[in-house]
Amino acid sequence: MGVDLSVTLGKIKMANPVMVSSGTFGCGSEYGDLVDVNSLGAIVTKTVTLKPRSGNPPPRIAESASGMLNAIGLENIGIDRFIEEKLPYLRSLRVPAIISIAGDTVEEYVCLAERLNKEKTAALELNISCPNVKSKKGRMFSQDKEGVREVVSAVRRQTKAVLIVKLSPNVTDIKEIAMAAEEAGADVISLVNTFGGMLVDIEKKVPKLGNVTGGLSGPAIKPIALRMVYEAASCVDIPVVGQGGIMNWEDALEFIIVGADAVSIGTANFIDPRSTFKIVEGIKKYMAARGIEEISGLVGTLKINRE
Amino acid sequence: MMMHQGNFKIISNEKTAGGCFKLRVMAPEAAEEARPGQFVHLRVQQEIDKPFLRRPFAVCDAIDNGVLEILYKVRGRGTSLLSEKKEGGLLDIIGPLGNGFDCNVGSKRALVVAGGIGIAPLIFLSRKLLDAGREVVFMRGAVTAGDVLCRRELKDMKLNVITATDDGSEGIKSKITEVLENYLRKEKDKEMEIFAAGPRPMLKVVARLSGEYKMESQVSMDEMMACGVGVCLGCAVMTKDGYKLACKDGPVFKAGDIIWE
Repeated sequence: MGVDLSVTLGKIKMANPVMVSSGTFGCGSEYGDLVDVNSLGAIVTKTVTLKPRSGNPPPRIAESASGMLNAIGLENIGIDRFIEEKLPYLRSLRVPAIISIAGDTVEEYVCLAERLNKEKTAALELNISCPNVKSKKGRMFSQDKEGVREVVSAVRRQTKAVLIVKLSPNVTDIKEIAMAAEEAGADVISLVNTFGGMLVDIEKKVPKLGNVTGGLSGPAIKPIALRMVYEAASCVDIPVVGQGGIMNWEDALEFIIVGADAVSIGTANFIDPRSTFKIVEGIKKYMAARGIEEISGLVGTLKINRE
Repeated sequence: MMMHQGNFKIISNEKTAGGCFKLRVMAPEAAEEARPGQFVHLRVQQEIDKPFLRRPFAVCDAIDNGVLEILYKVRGRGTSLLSEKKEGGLLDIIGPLGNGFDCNVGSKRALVVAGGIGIAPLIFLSRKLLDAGREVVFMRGAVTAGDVLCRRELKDMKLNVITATDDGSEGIKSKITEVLENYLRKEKDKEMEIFAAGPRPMLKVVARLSGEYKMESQVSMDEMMACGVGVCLGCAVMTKDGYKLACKDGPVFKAGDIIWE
């Protein structure tokens, strides 16, 4: 039996619901020898900022139980070089390329959206949740609903591109943040970014990361990410991209069942660059075995038996 | 140059000296593409348990018959699990990766400086240098005689080997960097080039010496990595031109380009 895996996020049409997360797949061509990039649902590029950023001092990564801690610090070549060097390849792909942008101020986000508007970019992801850089206000925009509203509505006024807002899990109540993003004009929300964390070298008594703290990803965060996607999906009407520690198709289905319209694969790419492909195949088989014809028939099908 | 990913068959995985193992896998495409100084990224186990990420290992040799060799020291859980792999089993490998040694810098005499397990990529390098008709002086440092690596590999090659141990139980009682310094001081003919791999403090001394004696030197940097292909930007090395990636721009760099502090 053929199954229909296609999904639409805002106006983004994807052949399957499995995309790759920002910062884990470069700008697409890096894994080209190993992965057919056109088999992905979509690619979210490494975050680009207005000016080039050199990133944080090393060590930038450390491993922990079933997880990875990173503090890269948004190293990137800046929007000018991005448009010149990366965009042509991304345009040549048959799958949607979603450009991840970040700024220190609302004005920088708006300026980036403006630049990409001129390039007719179809979709943007607002990275308002990087735990390893500080915005001008000293915290992430995604940590309070006022910050979310301010940056999302300002970018919304600027662009007709599909706007995905990437949320941080480092908040007290993800529901109010998700609703704030929706009210401010987000077309899609994506969650979660990494959890703030740290590791210490007990011999040297120093942090294992040059930045002292970093963001935790990988299977270690999956149950928490899943709970937050469940909560967010239950209170917004816009599509939700679920992510956080997905390693295989079973993990991906958990996110879809709690309400994610699509899933995004991050750290798993480092361990197996073909994870995305295997996850798509696994979902297909699961659906075929159960006579589910469309992926939408699975989204939010969680059964909760409350007596 | 192309990278490959596959489950390659283990031909042998034998204990050598100093708690080290030599792993040999049949990986024809990867072995054919590999250049000295490049590495392969191994997935030691399939669970999400530790080690969670892949681990990079220098290609110790890539022989014409499709065999890829890796020399590793058992240090933590990952290398311990690797040492338990049996002949006939499969190993998930991505490679070859990275930017290796530039072996085509004329006909100068090559001073190859190996510190401990840093010797791994220098075996492949020396073989290629000899094939190209270069004269090779191989300086090998170890803590003690029992840790001296690659005796057989070096014996099979026609090169001048100088061994130094910290405790003097074999060769000269000295740090290998002191051996290098003495050599540079005595040698009149300065038409030489240094290739080095080993602990960072050793490489830092190599960089200083090559600066003082105005010689070219290439060093292989050992950094924690996640992706191995240049997307995670985790393995940053500070250079005169800003951060570079050990996995993609390196692991081999010109010693003079690195900011060592």
